[in-house]
Amino acid sequence: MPRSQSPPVDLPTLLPDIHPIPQDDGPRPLAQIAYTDTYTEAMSYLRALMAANELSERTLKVTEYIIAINPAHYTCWGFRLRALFQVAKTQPLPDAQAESREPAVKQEQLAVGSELLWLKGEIKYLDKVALQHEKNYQIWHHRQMVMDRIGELLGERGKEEENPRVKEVVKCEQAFTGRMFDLDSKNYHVWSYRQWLVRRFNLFKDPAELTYVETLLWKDVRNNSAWNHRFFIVFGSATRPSEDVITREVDYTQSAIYIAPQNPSPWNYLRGIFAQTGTPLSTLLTFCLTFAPISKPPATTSPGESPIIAGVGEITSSHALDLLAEIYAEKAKLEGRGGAAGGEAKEESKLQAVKALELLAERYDPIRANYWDWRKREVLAV
Amino acid sequence: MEKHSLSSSFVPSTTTTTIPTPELLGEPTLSRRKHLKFWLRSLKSALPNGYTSTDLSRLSLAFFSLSALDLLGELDTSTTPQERKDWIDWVYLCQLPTGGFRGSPATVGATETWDVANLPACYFALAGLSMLGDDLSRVNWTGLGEFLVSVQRADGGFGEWVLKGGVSGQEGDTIMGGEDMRFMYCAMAVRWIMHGGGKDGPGRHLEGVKDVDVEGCVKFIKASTTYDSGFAAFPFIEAHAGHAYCALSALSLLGRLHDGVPPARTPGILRWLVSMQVPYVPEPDLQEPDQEPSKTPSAPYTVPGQEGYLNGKLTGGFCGRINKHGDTCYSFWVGGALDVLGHAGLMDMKANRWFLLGQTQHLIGGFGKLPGVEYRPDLLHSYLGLAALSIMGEPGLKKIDSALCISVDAKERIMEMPWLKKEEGDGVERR
Repeated sequence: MPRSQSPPVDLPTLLPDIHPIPQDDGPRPLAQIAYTDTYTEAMSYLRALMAANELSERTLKVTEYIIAINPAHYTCWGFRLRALFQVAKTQPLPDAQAESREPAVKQEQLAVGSELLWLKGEIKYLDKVALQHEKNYQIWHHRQMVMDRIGELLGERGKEEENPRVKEVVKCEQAFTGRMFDLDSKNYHVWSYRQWLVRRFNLFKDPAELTYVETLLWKDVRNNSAWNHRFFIVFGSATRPSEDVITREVDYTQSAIYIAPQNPSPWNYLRGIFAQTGTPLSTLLTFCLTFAPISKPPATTSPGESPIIAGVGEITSSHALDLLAEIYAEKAKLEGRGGAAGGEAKEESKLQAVKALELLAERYDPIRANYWDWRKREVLAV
Repeated sequence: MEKHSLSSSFVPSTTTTTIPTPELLGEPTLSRRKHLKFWLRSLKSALPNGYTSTDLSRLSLAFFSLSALDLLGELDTSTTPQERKDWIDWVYLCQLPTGGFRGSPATVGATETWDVANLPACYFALAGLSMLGDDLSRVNWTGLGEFLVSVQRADGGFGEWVLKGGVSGQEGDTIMGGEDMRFMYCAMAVRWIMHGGGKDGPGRHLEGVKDVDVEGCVKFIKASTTYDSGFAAFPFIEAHAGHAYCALSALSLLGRLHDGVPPARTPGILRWLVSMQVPYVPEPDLQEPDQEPSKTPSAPYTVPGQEGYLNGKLTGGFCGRINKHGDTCYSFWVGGALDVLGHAGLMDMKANRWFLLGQTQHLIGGFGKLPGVEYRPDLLHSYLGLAALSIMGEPGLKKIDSALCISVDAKERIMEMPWLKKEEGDGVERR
């Protein structure tokens, strides 16, 4: 069932001059859908309006009507966009009306002000539709194109940072995406839009972005989408982050691991920072051993337990074991290059790597046993 | 909050510290007859009105139904030649005179600006037609080739459709639809079919047809690798298993897997892909009364290695992103991606099979998205559930070609198309 009610528009009354075009589905269609009569009628009018290429307020009404029933109608969105831009440019809103809706309009030339009002009205409409159809993606593509035009009208591209009017609009967008994240903090379409916003209005240095990510991570340290946005903000701009920023990121990530050692997100983030900065993973050896003391005597060993856990302290993170195995395997490779002198060290490192991988396969991450075995064979081949 | 059936007698394993002793339980099996009934119903009668939001992509629904019956080995036996002929005609009804396919006849009559080709629809149409036994002789290859080129962006990625005249109607064409690896995949699958899978260049039917920017494709895919070694819809967005499948399959269909994934990068990608397999932990039926329900809770794993045992059997499908819950479709997206890399054996097939057959296979046939009878089967999840099982060699299902997401039979049928055959004295060797 459609999730929202269509706006109460009587199409024959609204479009007396338009002759609806019915759908021709052939004699034996595939994937036929039991449309409601409302949808069937609305689509027939839409086809006719499209055929007439009518870019009018009526088109805005009809497309709104269709979108309420089928928000994934992509050409309907395209048609609406063209109609909207046309109407916004050519249909000035009465001054009084404009004033009551937006006092700032006085400072602008009337035409631009009127166009802006139309577009801001569209954003309000999109707020409503987005909240009704959380999973829809066309809405966000449409919003992006409308917001891009709003940005153009408000000021020169590339100078957004010092433009208070742009800042105000951006703040509203940050707030609305935040509202969407209250419903689903991992909504991929909304995150995609938020990234677009950051790029379009150069928000990499806007403290609000990082603060918001931290709020989300404070609520749910396992929110991988928030971690990803953090990476984008820190590493996604053209400017390389400073040493201080890198240190801050490593500290932040390590604290998050202390809170929840079995959470893969910060472990991946840590690997990401190290790869970006070319830091060898081996510097994380001690840190990993905190969560996977593979050479400490065990706290307890129950009878019948696999002998592999003998000589191992409490393991609180399979990800620490994984990283340890990688560090030892890398070490073995380097030591192997050291000639005869490295031979013994290399065998010891291999042994440690194998031990970590066996612990994972047999006890701490058995669902990936095949994978850990494969890694083990790779290590043994060194 | 996702609800699970009250009848589930599982003890949440988070409360156990040792692995429970295995109980004697019958192996779950594929309910072939129910699946067959489900798919024949979806093919031969009207779909419920809840599918209205897929009205513009009905070809995808047709593809799922046809390919599911093909995997079940029933497409030619459970449908009549007349039905198949009529369905072929319907798919051609979706072809535009200028080339390319719409997702359904829903826009026919709306003039050439608004009644346009849709990239995913082109893939579903070609694949569907070949499964129905059509020889693709009515395809407008020149128009299709031109459409593919027109929907590729400067950064190498693809959009979904083209708005002629741009937003104002008076500028250059605008490529519509977000940056999305799914469009890349569809474009590469269409291109592969156009070229008949041969590596020795386009056949005669493609004479004078421009090719897409292949280097741009590889560049776009590489740039969409994430910091955690997965792939995303576009550069810098979160790694996602569906997009990873699309990225890897696209490279594979281009014959460029080893460029896109050099040996040094393979372990990282494998690591990310296998990390998507998650032990299945049923959610408790009752929530703490004062607990605020969260719509999208992160996966709850806190104790390494202790979760996912249901009646002693390790059970677990795949999720699509780090810290999310298992969902039927990701068994295919991840399984397919691993298979494309030649490493399907790295997943825990038993646990995955238990998840699919024991948890998301639905009473009425098909698969739900998540465990529980209230997750009614939909066409996408029902098809991908079968496809995932086929990768793992489920008895009674045809073998799937992971990169194309159709049976190996269907793939071979495409490669045997008469228009691809070498003509006498042609001098061109085809695979």
